[in-house]
Amino acid sequence: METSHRKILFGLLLTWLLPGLGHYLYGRRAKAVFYFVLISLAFVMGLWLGEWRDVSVERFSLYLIAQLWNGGATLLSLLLTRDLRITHDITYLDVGLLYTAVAGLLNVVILVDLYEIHLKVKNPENGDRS
Amino acid sequence: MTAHVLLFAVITLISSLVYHSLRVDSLRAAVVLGLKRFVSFFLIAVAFGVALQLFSRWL
Repeated sequence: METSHRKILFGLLLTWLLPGLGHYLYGRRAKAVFYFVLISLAFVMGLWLGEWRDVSVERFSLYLIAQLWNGGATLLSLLLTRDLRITHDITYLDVGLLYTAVAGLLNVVILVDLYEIHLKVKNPENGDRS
Repeated sequence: MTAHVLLFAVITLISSLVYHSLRVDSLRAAVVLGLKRFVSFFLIAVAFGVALQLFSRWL
């Protein structure tokens, strides 16, 4: 496999695991930190609002499709909160679900942006963004 | 209700910042643009909400 192909696949995997890590790999360090802070903030706020119960395969499988795009945090949450049960009414559960889902979907946009950066690095005649 | 509106505002602000940082190379410019667009969007949303409330009372 070509080196640049390997690099982008690795970058996409890193971004899926931790938002912004792929951008860091491509030298966009300020943006990498920016994306990591914003997406992690949205995800952790969502978990906090949902009292750490809004990432679940059984309860919110549809939301999980969106959450899973932020792979590292979602898998970690699934692992750490799998024993928690909903025993009372959680006031902001709907908002928490929205936050975690939006964090996952924003990471899709970051993944696409990383791929675009890769294409411009690979074909500099199309104009580099940096 | 107020808490829901504020929480909606926060996630809109985060989305606006991420979106504009994709479109602009400079991070500072992206933050300024994201904040500007967020404020205009939020003011329109609040105005729409107030108008809807007034309209429902009038009905």
